[in-house]
Amino acid sequence: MAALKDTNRQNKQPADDQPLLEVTDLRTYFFTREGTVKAVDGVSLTVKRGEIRGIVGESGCGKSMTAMSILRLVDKPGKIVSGEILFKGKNLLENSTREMTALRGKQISIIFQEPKSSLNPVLKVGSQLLEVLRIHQGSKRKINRDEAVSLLRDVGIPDPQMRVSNYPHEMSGGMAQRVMIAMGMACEPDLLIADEPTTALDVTIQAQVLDLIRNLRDEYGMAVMLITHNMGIVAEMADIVTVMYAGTAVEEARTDDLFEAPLHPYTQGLIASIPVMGKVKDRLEVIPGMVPSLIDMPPGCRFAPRCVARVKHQLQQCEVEEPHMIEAKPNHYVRCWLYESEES
Amino acid sequence: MQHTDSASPELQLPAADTTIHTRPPKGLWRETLERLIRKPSAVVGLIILGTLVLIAIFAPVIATHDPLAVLLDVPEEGAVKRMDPCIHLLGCPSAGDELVHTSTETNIQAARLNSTNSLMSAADGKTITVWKTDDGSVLFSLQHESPVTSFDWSPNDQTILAASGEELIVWDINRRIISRTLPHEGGVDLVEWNADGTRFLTASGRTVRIYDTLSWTPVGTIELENDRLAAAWNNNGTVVMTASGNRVQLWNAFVGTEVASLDHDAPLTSAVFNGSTNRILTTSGNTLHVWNTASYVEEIVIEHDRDLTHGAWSENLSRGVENVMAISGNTGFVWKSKTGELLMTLDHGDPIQRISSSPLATRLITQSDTHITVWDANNGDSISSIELEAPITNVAWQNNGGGLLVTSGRDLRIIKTSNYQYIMGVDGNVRDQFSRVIYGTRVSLMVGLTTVSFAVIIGIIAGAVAGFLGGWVDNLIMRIMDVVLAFPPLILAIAVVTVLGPGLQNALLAISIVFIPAYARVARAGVLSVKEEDFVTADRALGVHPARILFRRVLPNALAPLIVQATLGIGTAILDAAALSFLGLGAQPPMPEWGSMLGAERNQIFTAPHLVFYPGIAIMIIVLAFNLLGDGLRDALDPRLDR
Amino acid sequence: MAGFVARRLTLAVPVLLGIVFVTFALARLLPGDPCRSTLGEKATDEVCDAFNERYGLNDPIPEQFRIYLRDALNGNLGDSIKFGRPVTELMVERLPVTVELSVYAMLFAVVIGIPLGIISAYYHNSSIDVGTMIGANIGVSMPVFWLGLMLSYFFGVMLKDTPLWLPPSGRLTAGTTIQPFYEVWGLDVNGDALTLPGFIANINTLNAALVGDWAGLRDALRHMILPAMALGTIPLSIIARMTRSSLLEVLGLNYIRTARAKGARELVVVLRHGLRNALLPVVTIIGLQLGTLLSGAVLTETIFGLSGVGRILYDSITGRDYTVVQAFTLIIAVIFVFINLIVDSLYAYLDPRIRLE
Repeated sequence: MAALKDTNRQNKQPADDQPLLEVTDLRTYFFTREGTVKAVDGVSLTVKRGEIRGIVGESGCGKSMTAMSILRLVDKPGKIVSGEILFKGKNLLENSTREMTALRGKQISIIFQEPKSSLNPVLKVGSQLLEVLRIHQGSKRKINRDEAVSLLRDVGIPDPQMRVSNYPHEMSGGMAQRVMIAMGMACEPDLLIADEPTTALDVTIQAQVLDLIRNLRDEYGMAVMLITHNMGIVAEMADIVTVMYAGTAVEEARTDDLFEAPLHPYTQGLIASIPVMGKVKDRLEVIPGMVPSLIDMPPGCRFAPRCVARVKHQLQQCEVEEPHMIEAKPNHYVRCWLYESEES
Repeated sequence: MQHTDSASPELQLPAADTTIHTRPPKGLWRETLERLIRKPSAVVGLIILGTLVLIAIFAPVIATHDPLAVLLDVPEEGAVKRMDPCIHLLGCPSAGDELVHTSTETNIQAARLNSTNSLMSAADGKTITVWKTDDGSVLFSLQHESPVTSFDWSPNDQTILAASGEELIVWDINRRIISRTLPHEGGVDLVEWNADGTRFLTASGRTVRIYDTLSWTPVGTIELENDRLAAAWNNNGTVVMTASGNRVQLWNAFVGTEVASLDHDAPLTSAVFNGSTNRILTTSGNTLHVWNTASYVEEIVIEHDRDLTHGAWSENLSRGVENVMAISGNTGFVWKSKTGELLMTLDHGDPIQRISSSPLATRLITQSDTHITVWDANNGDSISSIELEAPITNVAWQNNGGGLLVTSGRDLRIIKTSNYQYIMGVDGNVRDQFSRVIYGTRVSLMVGLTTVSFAVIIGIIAGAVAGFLGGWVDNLIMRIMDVVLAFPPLILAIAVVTVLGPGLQNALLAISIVFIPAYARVARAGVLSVKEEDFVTADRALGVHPARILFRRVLPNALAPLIVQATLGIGTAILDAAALSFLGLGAQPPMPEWGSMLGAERNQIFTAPHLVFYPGIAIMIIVLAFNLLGDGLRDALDPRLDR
Repeated sequence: MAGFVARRLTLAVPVLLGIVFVTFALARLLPGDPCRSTLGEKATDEVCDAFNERYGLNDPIPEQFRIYLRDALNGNLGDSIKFGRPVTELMVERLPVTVELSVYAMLFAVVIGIPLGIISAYYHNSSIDVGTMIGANIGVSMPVFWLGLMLSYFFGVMLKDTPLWLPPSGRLTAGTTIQPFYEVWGLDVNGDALTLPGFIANINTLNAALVGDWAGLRDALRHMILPAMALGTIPLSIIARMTRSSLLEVLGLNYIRTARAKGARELVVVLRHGLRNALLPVVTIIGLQLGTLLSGAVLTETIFGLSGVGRILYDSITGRDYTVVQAFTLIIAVIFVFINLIVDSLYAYLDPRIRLE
């Protein structure tokens, strides 16, 4: 694993001047009867060509919704209220519906957490796979069944000849996720969003699927946006990481930097909560408290009610005003009064 | 998070924690209710249902009439057939509106309704034309060689007797041919059948002849001293009354000899029998006399300050109404015939030519040359005023007093005499439909609740026993249920009712039986789902009696789907009960049940759709209310579906 | 697939036996003496004895049941006491009417109900959706017999003398006849119109189409519209509601999200990925509605003067013609069981997950 990781780093392509994807101050709100749920509230991030960008955070912090917003697949009553999503320099929010459908699956594709339920149970996997090609290339050429077989072979499914005519319920979760990946890769997109691709899978299968994603990245040179709640996966896979908390990004840094010296108290808590082999702890570190309701956000820093550092440093500002994203170290951004106050 | 009970620590908690699960906690019911009242459809359902329950409770207050009573006293709507069938709330003809309007080629000389009021006929020139009263379509016309001066329907509507020139023509209406022709000296002014159609009289000038329909010859001839004012039969056809000069005479109808003579001081201006022909009203000069025809004595004399003409009766013996009326110039007067007390003064405006009361004394009319005013016979209020272009020649009441046959010039009309409409009309048996629909709410609610309760109880027992015991018992019970489910519900219900015999109770039983499997299945599924829960196992281990476990632990947990199923089932049960009643297998007349009301009047759909419309709408509303509530309950109890 | 059907068939056997028993019992339980209600109150005991002997009414009940079962299996359902003809003959005459009516009613319900449901789900919470659902709720709550009467009044009376006028009763305009197709084709039916050709020929619209009698077809269809509408409205409403709620549920599922992420157009997403899955429960509902349809047929046939199964069943029950009651109840229940079987198989065909169980 470690060896693979190293080669991976070496093969990394030189970063383009212009980022592939640039999200600025994205806000996606859900207007429900109980109130406005601010699922994504001011997220900014960039993804460069060929890199793996990790997005990490607890469940319900708005990671997946950020991904869905990029594809503009937010269901009612959700709505992207503001922000900018520049993909190859073009703002996706200004695209027409037709342009968006042409883009989905071709330039940006996505794979989901639960592979089995993400496949249509009444259609054979082969036909679902070919559907992507038919949609995006069908007008130009004839699509035949062999392409599905070769796509399945590419993602390492044994006996692809037989598997194309299987129904999703006849496949295991890992197999189904490979099908999903094959579907995502079919048109060789520029950006693959992997939304918790391994959460529902067994640990051994997890590693295989992650390897597959990384290998495909190396092979095709696409960018990957890896969304997960698992710090271990991020550490292993990502080049650069964004930590999200309660709908907003709180820290962003290169993976190594982040794990070496996490700046935000929340990140520190997350990393501390990873059980490390060989180390015996009396009990795992736990971040106290709960994620705040996305409807009634605390006025200041969202993490303030749970923040140990705030108490330790006796910061007053935290509960009054929201901190800003600042570059605390070179290429290491954080949203915390701890560092902002130091600077000012 | 779940341990947020506000119970004080001293509270004695049950020993085993099993009881906590036996029924949904209070909070769940409240939450369900809150979710329920957030659903607009459920709220609508609840409101409608509440209203219906209130209507059912206060039915006697809301209903305007007794739902079973035949409306003899106020029969304005009695005629269900009319030219333009109407649905009342959407607008129906009111007083003064023409129900039927037809014309003839020349001026009408005489007009008659047949005895059932289904046909109307008029003579113009040499023709008698007969129309249907329903829609004014021509049924047939009878041609004569000379102008028709008078004609009359026989009491059984089989014969028309027409006076044409110097002949009497007897028409067979069934075959529409002349059955015989009788010569008659001189022109005939009037022909009139007696009450049983065995004799008729003709009048020409001062001569009145009495004919027998066995021999078709005059059996008696009466020669009057003065000009004839009136000639009329008594009800049993034994006596003919004539009026001329100062004298009313009664004649033996078999031989034409005088029986009695009632003399007046001044020349007579009118003389009429009352309905039962036991009294005669006469006017002469400024007095009005009521004579008894049995004892030939004067019962009462009413004196007025001016001359009285055109006396008439207004009586309905079943209500004790016995009034007399007369005209003086522009004004009509109504007195009590027993006491002579002046009841009403009807100011018409023009010189009145006729005053007349509907057969059941609910309406009065006064008629001048081209103008008719309709009055309420109870209080003398003017109901309607009808203005016609040509002078009015004939006015005749329909039996029920709902319409007036009016001829003027060449036009023949039936004019409605009431602006007061029964809200939903009157059914074929002359009962107030509104009251019946209101009372029907009671029946339908009762039907829905009893059938479903019965089916639910039996279903729960069967399903719970099957689910709880399992094994061959389960198999047997559920196979029986499968067989019941294999029949289309209504067909099985019909079959069961046939075995049990028609009637509301049996229909309810049949419907209950048909519905049992649905509840049994739900109950069984519910029982199976909680049977293996820990608290049930615990109870079993503790040796609690199975029946107790079933009723105290298991069933309450299976309650939610049952409630939903039952609420939705009520609607279906009401529909099916109505269908059975519609077919005549359920509620029996005269019970005011919507389905049977619909069934009884279904042949009237083309002529009186309102009789079908309202009961159906009522069924629809009540079923809709239960369906909306059931849907709301389902969503509230199963939040997964809430959207 | 064949195994699935076979298993379902075996499961249906006890139910079918139960049905036979119930119909048999029902007919014996009918109040009144079949002899005297048929031959009149003045029939002598001797005459009645002969009558009972002829129809096997003197045998002990178990023996009667045994004979009944044996005959039923042989396709001999007895003679109608009232009509004096074999019941099978009556069936060939009456069943087609009900089948025709039910098929058109269901066609009406499906062809309108499913698209309405789709539109409602697609424009979820819009005014179209709300309007359709209010309409569907009202439709479910309407008594069939009332709707039938109101329809015949509206189309038969209010629209009289307009091109929209429709005949309010009967199967064909008086004087119109459609020649049976087997006569036109010169088929030899051995003189009895008892068999399948007779059955088909009694389905007026089908027969008219077979012989190419377009005027007759038009007339038969026009007579079918109102009854089919009356009978089909409840299933229509239920199907529309079911399609909508099922489609809404499916549209919230993960694979719909996948389909959208693939770049499929919204219409493709709804129709290709959503509808097929959403229709699974709808198919079940359609099967269940056939029972309602047969129940409704009794009422509809009464109102529109169609002499179908419902009508003869009602007449025979009131007339105590117990062989007819028995036979027709039996045949309806059997048809019902088999329709449910077909629906189950169809379900299995549509949903690969069930097929393999």
